[in-house]
Amino acid sequence: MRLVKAPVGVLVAIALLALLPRGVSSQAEAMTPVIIIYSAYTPDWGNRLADMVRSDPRFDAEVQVVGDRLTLETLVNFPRVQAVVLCPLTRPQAALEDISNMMVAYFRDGGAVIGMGTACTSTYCSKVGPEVFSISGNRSISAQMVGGRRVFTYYRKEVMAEINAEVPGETIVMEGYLAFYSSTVDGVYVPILANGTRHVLYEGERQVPLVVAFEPDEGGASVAFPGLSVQDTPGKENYYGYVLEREEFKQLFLNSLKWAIDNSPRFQGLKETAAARMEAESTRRADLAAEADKLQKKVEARRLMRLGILWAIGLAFCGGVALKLVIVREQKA
Amino acid sequence: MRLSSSKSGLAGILVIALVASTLLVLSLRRQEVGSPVYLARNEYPDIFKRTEARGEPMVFNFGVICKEPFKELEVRYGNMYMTQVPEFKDPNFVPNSSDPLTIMEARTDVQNIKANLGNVSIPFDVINVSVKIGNLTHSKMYRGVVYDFARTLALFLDKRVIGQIFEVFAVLKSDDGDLLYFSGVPDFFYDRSTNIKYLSIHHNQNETTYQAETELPIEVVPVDAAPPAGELVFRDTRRDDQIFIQMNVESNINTLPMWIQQPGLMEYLIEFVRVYANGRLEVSELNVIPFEKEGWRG
Repeated sequence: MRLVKAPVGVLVAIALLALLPRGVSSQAEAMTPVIIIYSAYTPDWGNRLADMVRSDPRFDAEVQVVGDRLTLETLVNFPRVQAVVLCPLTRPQAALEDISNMMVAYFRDGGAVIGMGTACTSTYCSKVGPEVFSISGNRSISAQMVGGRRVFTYYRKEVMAEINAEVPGETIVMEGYLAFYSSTVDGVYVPILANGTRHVLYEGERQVPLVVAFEPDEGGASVAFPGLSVQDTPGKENYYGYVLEREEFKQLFLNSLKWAIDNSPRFQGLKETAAARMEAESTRRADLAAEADKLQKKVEARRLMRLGILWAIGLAFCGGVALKLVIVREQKA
Repeated sequence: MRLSSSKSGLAGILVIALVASTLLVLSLRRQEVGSPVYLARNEYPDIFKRTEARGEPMVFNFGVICKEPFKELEVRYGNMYMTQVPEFKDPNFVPNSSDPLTIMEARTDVQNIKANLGNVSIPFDVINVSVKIGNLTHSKMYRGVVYDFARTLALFLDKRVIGQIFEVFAVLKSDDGDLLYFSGVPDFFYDRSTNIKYLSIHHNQNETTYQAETELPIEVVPVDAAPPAGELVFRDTRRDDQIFIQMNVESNINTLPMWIQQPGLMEYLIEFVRVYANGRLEVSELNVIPFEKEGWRG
């Protein structure tokens, strides 16, 4: 019999051990990362950027294209969000209004953000520009017409191994229309104060920053492309289809996203603590439920006791009355 | 041995009394035990008016009395506004022929949130509601469901952020098929620092008051400092403890969610108050308040 019992015990132990890591891994599965691409009013632009991300094996995240502001404001707070790409093209006022508070909170919490065009400047996105991308805008420069395309020329200023070291050439061109920047009255670029490290990777004329990577002292990491103000009309000289064909853009965008994710602690922190947080909350709720059950039983027992006493008194009263009647009747008889 | 007729009558009476009283006691025992939380006050404006120019605040009062001691008593507020018919996952979905829960589950925004929660094992709050909407002469009964994701998200987020997220949804359906959609924030009121002018929280004799910041040289505790996300937690409450919350709101068109300026949406707002005793929902008050029709843009 011992020989039989021992393997059963061992099997139970193995089964328990096997279950433990499975529990942990299921929690890890619960935290599959999500990259949000916010492209209000231009879903095709968002979908094409999303396809670009999905095709890069460095990202193991779900990619979601979000088209409305309220959904973005809600989803950006979710624990699975690993990065947000803000790239609305048309109707910037409507697309960007009010997103500031949520985006700033997400960034301060350690989130990764990539911005393109109007999303990068205080002109349209009051707090996101200065606080997330360290860019403000009281002035703008226009893209030039080159070969039938409206483009900015990007002059390399700083090299970051993770983002632009492998992008060939000291200058590149990418489609755009306006780039906003902070300046003196003479139009000379003056960087705004930033609590962190700002890397201007490319700049345009008048040293206007066109690709800016930002690592705040506290918070996540961001990369801004303020000059990428492309349009959604095919055939227009700054149509987004043109920029999507450029290998330099693809490299810069994907490398920036990767760098921002790698330097943003929010998702990793939440992922590591998610299981413990859920466990603590489950325990808390279970304790309260047990307390509620205990209270309900106590209340029911108290009521039962009261009913029992009432019942006994009632019976005694009935008995007394009946007995009295019998005695009276017998005495009369 | 034969019993005398009077003694057999006595036995009969006693048996009848025994059976009748037992049945009475058993039927009383079957009745549900009442809620251990007594709703003492739930007052809200009949009509929600633009108050900025008139200086006449909208006053909300809510109060409960504990009939039992509790380890934890939680009061939760939600403030919701009408929305357009939401987008549904299935474009062919016909909401008018479905019940509120099915409609809620068909919503794209709700599905998005659920998908983004992944396998987070802490359930969000699903609360069935029923409410009469209208006035004395013309009113309709609506039944529906509220989804509130606040408690689940609170596991991961700063509560000050949670109070600003639109994560409370309601679908209400009248008996004749009329549908109303609402979306809102889990807080005392939307944009609390602007709209709430006075908030007072009483727990027995202890009172904490928050006020809108003023230019007058008086020291006030700002409304922003009130407990975040419209969540008040009282621990180890005793029997007969009283909790009262008073709130004065002054709003104008620019301090409410922008979307309600769309046609047909400035009809109702909802103040949703719940009380959980030891984690169990004991009080759920869905106060639907009609907007005053005119004067908002003045």
